[in-house]
Amino acid sequence: MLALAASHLNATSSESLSSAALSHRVQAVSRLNASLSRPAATQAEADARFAAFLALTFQSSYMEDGLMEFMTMIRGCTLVSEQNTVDRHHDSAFEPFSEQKHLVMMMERINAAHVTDAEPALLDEAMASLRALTALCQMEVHSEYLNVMIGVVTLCYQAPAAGKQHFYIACAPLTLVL
Amino acid sequence: MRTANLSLVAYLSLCDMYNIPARLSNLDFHALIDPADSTSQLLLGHFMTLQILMQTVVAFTWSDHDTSSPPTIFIAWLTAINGSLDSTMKAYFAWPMAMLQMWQNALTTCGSSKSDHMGIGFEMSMF
Repeated sequence: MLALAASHLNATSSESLSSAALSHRVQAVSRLNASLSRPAATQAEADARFAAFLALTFQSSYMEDGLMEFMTMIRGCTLVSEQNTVDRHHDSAFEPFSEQKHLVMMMERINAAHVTDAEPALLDEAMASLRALTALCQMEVHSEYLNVMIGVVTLCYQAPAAGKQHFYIACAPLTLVL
Repeated sequence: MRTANLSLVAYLSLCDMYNIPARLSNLDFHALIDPADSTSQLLLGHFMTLQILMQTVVAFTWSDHDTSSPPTIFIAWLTAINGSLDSTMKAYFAWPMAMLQMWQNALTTCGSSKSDHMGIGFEMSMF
């Protein structure tokens, strides 16, 4: 929390707190890593670990050189959430993050969402740029990641009225880990 | 005539991409985020740009604040990726940089380039 607070203040005020933010971050990551060497003894401890990952993830999104850290912490959040078994422990503080609760929450937000049309040219440019990367993808992980993005843009080409219908149909296979 | 609508399922599919890193092996994950691998950087840059594209037109209304918006930290991350690419690879990054410019212009016009939205949006990172 100190690391996140320092980074946020560094970004939103005239205070220079990047050194303090980094120092707190190093300590937090070190202690979090040490704690992960054994299973959480209680749900509260599991929640604390998950909360720490969340805070570190948010902090990395305030760091100009934090992209790799951000991706790493996103991965950590998901992996720890699976270990936290938030779907099975109803006394978890993160129960709203469970698949079922999250889906309900997202349904409510989707129903309240305001969606505007995109210029077809914007999507065409996105698709062309993504397809141009195909020739560069020599590793399977690159190809798979690229194909997911191409799939996202492909889904953008939908009749406006089909949007919500597609959402309800597609919700089931979506993996909502948290 | 083809219609283009940013359907909600497309938006949610993009959100689901935040779960991909956890599905990868350690080896694949580190290959995907390798800062020395230009293909990896191009892919991550395109992922962020897709989020800019979609999140600027899908506005969720929240109970405690107005709407979600792309994190402005993407400006720094995309600019850094572009700077790391050689001239040949920069050609593959023309669309992200064009989108970034468009977004920055919009932020300037709206006067909302303050860093309140610098951090990643909760709704994106935790989906």
